[in-house]
Amino acid sequence: MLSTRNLLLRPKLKNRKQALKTVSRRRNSFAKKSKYESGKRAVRIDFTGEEDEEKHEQVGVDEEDVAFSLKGSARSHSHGVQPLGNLYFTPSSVNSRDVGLGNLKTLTDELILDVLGLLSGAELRILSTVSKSFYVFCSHEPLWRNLVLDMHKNGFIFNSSWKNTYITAYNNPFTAVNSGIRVRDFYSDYLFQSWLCANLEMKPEWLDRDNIVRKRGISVDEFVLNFEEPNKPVLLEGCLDNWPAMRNWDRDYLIRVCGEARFSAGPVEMKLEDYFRYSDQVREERPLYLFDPKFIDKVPQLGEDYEVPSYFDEDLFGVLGKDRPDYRWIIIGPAGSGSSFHIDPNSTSAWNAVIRGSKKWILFPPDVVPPGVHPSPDGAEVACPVSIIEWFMNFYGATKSWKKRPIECICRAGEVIFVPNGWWHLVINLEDSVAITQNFVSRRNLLNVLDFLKQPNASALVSGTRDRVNLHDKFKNAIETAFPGTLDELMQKAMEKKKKQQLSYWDSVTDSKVGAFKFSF
Amino acid sequence: MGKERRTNVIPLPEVDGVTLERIIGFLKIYTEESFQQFTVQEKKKRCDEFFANCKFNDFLTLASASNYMGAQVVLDEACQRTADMMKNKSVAWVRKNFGIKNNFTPEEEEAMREKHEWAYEGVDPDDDEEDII
Repeated sequence: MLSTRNLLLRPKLKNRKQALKTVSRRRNSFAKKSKYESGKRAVRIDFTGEEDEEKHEQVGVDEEDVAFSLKGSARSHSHGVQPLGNLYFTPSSVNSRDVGLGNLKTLTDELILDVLGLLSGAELRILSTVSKSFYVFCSHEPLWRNLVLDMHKNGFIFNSSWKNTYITAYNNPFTAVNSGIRVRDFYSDYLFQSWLCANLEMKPEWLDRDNIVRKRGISVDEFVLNFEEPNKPVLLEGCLDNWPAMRNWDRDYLIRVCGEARFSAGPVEMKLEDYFRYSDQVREERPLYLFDPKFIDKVPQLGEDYEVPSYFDEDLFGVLGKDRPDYRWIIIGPAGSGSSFHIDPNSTSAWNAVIRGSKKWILFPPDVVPPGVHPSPDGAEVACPVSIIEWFMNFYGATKSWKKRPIECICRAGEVIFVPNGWWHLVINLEDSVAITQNFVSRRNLLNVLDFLKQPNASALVSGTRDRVNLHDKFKNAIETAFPGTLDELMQKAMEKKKKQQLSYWDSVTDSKVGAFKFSF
Repeated sequence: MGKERRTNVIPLPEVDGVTLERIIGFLKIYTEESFQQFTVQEKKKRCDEFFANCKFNDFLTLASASNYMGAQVVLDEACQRTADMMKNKSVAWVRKNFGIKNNFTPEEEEAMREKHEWAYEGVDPDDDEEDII
């Protein structure tokens, strides 16, 4: 039914504030309009014959000779939605989307979904029987995801799709679900792109570049001198060899040890077994990520299974004891889950150790804003593409032509990456992954952290603690008590350093594009 | 508004005069000190008064225009009120009032209805006199 076409696929940028809701929620007072001016990109979608779950489908880009691959088990869009560009090649140029919406056709796809997002599950089901257009819109998975997550804060049992999950939770658990009605001549960029991003595989090109420095068995002093002090990332090998976690942390063990404990996955808390059930089945743009800062409180055994690598022993926030901000997380997620570009909170540095699976990392130094990313002037909010795959599709190519290229790598099981403070980074899981990450403050970035906490808008920026406003004073006093004279010593050193006039990480001409994104105060 | 001499005209191709007036009018109310002091119920009442004479199509236009202009609070209202108008209505009512032709086959319709009986509780009986457009 679908044949080779030339398409105009416009990248969609939505606003994001950490929340994992994939439909932009206008009620969120932090939502801001994206400043992105979208360019057009020609994409050719080439479906070879009827949908076949096992067949590999190619999506080709016209101008560059690059192909996207869909995941092996992806079908074509579940209802037959096509991108808007296809419309221009049909003889009748009638979009059944419009016909089926009636007066609502004047609204953009996003606005329609915003309105539908304000309705209950029952209302959506009724409306889905009004017309085929309504059926397609009301079946949009993110709508049902939000309903499930709103209703089931204590976890949910995932059943093949968010819509089905909602219905089986609400009603008879054995209710059968219809497999989906197909529509003809329905064109919508937004709905199509949402499906596309959920089903694309990472292109080999995006994974090729691996230019991080790798070290094995270096001393702590060497690490501090060559990487921590100059604030450079490094991938450390061999530090996890003695971790019990490396031997033990397979699924059965984790499920057994964690028992009934519930971990944070986005806005809900759920049992590990239920999370795995979800992550095994789901296919979406931004899978829920299990990311829990209290995992050792909840399951002390997990804390016994690993130890902080010696390079990162110095952990000055420790002087605050129970009052310290969140600093360690267990991270579990399926392929495609991850974090889009951000800078770690409180100006801390971090290490991230992969125990199972593998992660693709992209890092930019503090003075280089990644393409497609727009931080607000005070840095409190960041607007960027909704899904990580979308960023790769639309912006990764730009990094090749920039002088200031990112540091990239794939971090595999048994490896640890050091993320220096202030660095932008993006992470995507390439397969089911389990990792531990910790943020820390050492003497090398103590002054940075104190400066950060001293900022007038600290209460908005500082994260991971309930007492944001007083954190600066508390921390400073605690340091003085525990390590008297240290602060003075460090400030002295810093002054001397300034006099020597250090060059920035890239001692090259500033990229002209960077100027456009930079905010300086 | 007073007659100021403007040297630059800003074209707003997506917004007609009536809608623009509404957006500005609402923003004026919203930014008043007295409004900000209201309780949630009082705010709702005030907003209800403001939008009392708006029909369904007006809200659609308002949503598009305020989205275009970035007037978030107006957009929130427009979306919410549009959604409110769609709640608890029968399928026939929605089709009639939104000007939609049913393009399901009878078999498809029956199959869907059967599976979603539970969703149909609580639907308002149709009110034929009501003209929301």
